[in-house]
Amino acid sequence: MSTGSEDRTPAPIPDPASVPPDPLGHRLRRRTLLGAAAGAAAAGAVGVGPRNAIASPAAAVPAAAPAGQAVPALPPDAAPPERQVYVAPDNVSIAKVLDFYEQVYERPSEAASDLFSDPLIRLNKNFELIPAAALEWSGSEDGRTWTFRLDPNLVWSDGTPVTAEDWIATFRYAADPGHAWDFSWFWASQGTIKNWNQALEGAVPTDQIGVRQGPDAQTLIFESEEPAPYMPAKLLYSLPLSAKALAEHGPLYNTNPETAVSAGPFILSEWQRDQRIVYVRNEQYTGQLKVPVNKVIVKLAAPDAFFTMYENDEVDFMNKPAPAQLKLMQDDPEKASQVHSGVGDFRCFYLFFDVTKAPFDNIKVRQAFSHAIDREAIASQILGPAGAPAYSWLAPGFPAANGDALKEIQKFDPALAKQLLAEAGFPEGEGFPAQEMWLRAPSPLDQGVAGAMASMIKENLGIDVEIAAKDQQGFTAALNAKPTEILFGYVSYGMDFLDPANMLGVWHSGGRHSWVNEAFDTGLDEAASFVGDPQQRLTMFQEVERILVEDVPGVFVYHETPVQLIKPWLKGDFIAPDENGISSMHWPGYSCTSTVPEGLYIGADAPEGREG
Amino acid sequence: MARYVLGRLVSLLFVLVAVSVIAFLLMHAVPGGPFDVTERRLPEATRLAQLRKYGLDGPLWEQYLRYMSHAVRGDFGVPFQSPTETVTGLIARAWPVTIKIGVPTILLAFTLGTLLGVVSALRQNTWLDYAVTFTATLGLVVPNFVIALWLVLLFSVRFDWLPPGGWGEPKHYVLPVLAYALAPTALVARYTRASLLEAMRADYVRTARAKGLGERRVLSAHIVRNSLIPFVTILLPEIPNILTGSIFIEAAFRIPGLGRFFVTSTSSRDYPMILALVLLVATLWGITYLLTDLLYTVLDPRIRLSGGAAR
Amino acid sequence: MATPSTLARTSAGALRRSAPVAHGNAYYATRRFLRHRLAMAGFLLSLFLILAGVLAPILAPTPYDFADLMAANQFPSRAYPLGTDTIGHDYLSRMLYGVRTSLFVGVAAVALACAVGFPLGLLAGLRGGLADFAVMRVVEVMTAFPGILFAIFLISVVGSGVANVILVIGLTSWVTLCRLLRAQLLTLREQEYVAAARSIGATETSIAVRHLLPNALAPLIVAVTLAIPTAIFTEAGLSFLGIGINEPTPSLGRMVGESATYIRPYWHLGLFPTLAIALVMLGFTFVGDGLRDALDPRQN
Repeated sequence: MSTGSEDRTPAPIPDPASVPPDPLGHRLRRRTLLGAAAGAAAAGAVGVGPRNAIASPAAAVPAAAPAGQAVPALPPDAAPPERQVYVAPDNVSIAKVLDFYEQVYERPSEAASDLFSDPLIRLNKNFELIPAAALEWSGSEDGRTWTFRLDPNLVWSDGTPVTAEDWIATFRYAADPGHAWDFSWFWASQGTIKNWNQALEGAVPTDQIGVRQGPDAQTLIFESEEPAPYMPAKLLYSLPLSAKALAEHGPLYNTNPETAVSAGPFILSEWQRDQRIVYVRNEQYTGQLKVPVNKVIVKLAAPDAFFTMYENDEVDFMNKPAPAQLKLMQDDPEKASQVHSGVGDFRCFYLFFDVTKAPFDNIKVRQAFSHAIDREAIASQILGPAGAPAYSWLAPGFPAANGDALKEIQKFDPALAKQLLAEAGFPEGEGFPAQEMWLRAPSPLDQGVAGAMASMIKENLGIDVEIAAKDQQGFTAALNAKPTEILFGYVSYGMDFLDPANMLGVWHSGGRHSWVNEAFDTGLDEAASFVGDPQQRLTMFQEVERILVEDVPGVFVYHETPVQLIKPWLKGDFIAPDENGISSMHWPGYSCTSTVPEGLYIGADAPEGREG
Repeated sequence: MARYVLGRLVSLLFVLVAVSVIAFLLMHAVPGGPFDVTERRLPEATRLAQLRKYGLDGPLWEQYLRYMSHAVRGDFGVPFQSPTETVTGLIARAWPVTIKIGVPTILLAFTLGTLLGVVSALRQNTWLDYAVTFTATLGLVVPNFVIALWLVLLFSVRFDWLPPGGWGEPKHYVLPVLAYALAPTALVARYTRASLLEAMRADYVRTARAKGLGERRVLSAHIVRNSLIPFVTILLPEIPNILTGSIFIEAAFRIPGLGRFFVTSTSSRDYPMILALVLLVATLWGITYLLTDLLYTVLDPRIRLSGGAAR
Repeated sequence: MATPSTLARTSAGALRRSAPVAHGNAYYATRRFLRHRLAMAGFLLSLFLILAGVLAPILAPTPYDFADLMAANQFPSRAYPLGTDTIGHDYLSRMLYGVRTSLFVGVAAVALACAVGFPLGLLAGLRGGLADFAVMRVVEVMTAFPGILFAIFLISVVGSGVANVILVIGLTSWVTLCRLLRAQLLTLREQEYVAAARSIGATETSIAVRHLLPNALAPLIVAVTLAIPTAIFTEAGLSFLGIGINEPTPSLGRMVGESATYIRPYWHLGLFPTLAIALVMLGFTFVGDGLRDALDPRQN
């Protein structure tokens, strides 16, 4: 496993011709992924040793780095430095603030974000944890105390050194009831930061939370309420704010170029509201990433407009084209090679029921629904490279994924579906109340999949289903209400951090849905905080997932493999196939929490005028 | 006259209050609050803290009075969807963009619409008249988002003459103004035709003709007059709409104007912004209708103003 | 006396000061309508579309909610005259049912608008005084409220779907009808023949029933006819924004809206619903125009 200092040489640049351009090869690669599932992930993310606690790879202390960023030498096929400009679109409605610890759900995160500081750890393209701001880390034997040794060379662009104090101030701000952070739930369960919930309630001051300095300013300690072997993985989201700027200019300091401060590879240079955000190279950056790109321009528009911008060479990249746009690309021999499918955030799309209410309190009804959905047809006719059929919760490649073993439980079988529905007292759907399927701010793809499912339910079960598209807020409020106000809906979830505890936690009682299963809850809690053999831990998760799939609180429809359109002049390691053969920009995208920024440069063939 | 205008302004004040109360009640009746965007349930403490932070705690009437007492002093608060600026600042940057699209739209609709209407009326029941009537009706029945789509496909994708969207240069005006102006142009053309035909049948024109005035002179006198009436009657009431922007046009051409906020403010439950927009539109509406009525007395002496309220 | 903007905002037809209804007017009006070429074209077109909508269950090759996913994205062919959509609905069936939905929504919403607008208009126009004042304040407020916000709010509160869309469109479009009726009544009240009737001792009720309403009828018929395409258009806009009619009920508006992303690879998905909606609108608009001209007695 590489250390930070070794990573300083730019990643080898693959011959562009060797990058597999064929998006249709995707299905094959997914199968490879299925095989690779459990092993790869266990190694990096949840490497928990039974005896020596949990330790990062020993990192060599980097040689005293000179202040300022060493610009990596550009490969021969690269555009000159002044044209190393990456241009990406983002949703104009979401660009409200720019820092994770300000508002998670309201910052532009589609293509380029979180560039103002390095998190403690980051993910490489094989989804292994590698050192970032923390050079090494270790956990106590009980898995409750985590110590991170910070890179002493890190410095903010105002000259202040990056120290434990920055994380402490950031997390105190996040726990501050006055801030009311929209992601506060993340640290409120599963690896709960000590005293976090009490601080949110205002019962204890925020300086009592379990984020504190060790023996020196370069040692940072996290304490959790319960054993949390996944703590390093969860600390992917540890992009600190500058304690000094926070105190001097308040939490929005990064939204104004005048007050912006960065310890990451870029700093804010311009933000024209509703039009564009421009990040330029932070010349003071001394972190691990060696970034060839000099400037990042985020063009803000409604997502409907992204494809036109992409076609018109106004942007270099776009996420998740609509099905028809994808077809236009695939049908054009010159453009087909620009279609890439990735793993995204291991997102699963699923139908869910309020299992506390009739008719879905009857497991036979739920099973009947699960056998009525023809996932293969949806995948081949609608999704194409954008997703793969799902019969279980954890996506291929995600730690503990067990798709093959669980495949039969919710398989497509219309005859069985009819029979189960009859057994539940609704032969041919007779007497079954018409249903409304709730959708959350659906994209054209969501509309298509939902429409197809409604017709399958009608065809195979004789049940009328109307599709009700709700906006984000209306849907979320009804979903999160206790008791839930949605009887039947279609939604998705993608990972927050690379551990089964996170994905499976969605189904924990008191979580997102009304389903309560004691065996599932206890099994999950046990597995989540298990600090023994990692392989055994994964087996425990697999047993838990089986309970979930068998009790059908949800019908799993597809695992998203989000399509990215990438212009041929975006070159570099980021697009070289990973261990699973996937060649695309890996989650979390062009952000400091992954190694993408380091592996991407602009080729000499990039057209002029993209900056406008 | 002054009394009349004063009465109308008082009436407008009443409308503003009523409109803001209705908007306030409706927006709070919509399920889901501004912060219901999280993938998982927020801790109760955070949820309550959010309500406090954004002044959404306490009974509704209290929230309303709190907002309005700030609003009358010109402080419309901070938009939830753009917490780094004020509502006033947001409108001050987005509205001029919309106006820059709106003014050429109005001018084009007026000139072209009048021209087509006159031609059509003068050639009543000829193929030319039918063609204009048909096109004008088509302009009214094809939604402008469809027109926008076809314009982009034709002029940007197919011929590459004009940019498919964007903002800042003169070339960015062409397609949105065309797409936006079609419907009002059609409206003006239809109305001009109808009122001109009516005028040509009117007694005083017959009299003028009977007195031996040349057809050309009779018509030119009335065309001028009759082109102003559609402007006041049809186009002026459209002006508050046009000047506050179209969500369809602005989204289709990526114009950073005000139109988008009419939809995003509701979908993101941006209460301060919703109230500001409602008050803005209602004020514009009030002023426009007052202008309409005043202009009408100038254009049509048969009409006299009466008590401020009745209309 | 009506103030200028009332007159200003009513349609051209309403501006004309109608003479008392004379015997035989209906005959002349019918004759004028039959001779009006665009009106007749519009009438035949509307008739055709109404038939298509009413007979959709018989004419459509498949039920509107039947989709064969394996036959998705087909271009027009012998098997699928108008092709299929992205999830395999037969597009001809969707189009027929879509016309049915549009017409139903248009007519029902306008009926609701009449049910609200006419009583209020009558009240304001006949009673005057406080009733008139109150009604006109409501009208003012409704006019001043940004229409799109009002519609989105209402839909968000009551939910999407056919019934609620009708409700929302009805509740936003009664204002025009109410104002028109009131303006008509106020204008007619000033006419000489009404003064004459009053001078010979006719009661206000009999004046209203025998003189005012019959003469106010013509512009109202025109306005109601023209309100139908407007309502259809509003439904299209709401469905385009994704807050209108729910799948699998077909809506021409939503089909047009969704086609925006599909139109380039699949031209038929955009063309047919756009055409259908344009035809529905054209039909009713031409009929409305024709009626206006035909009912104008001075065209004898």
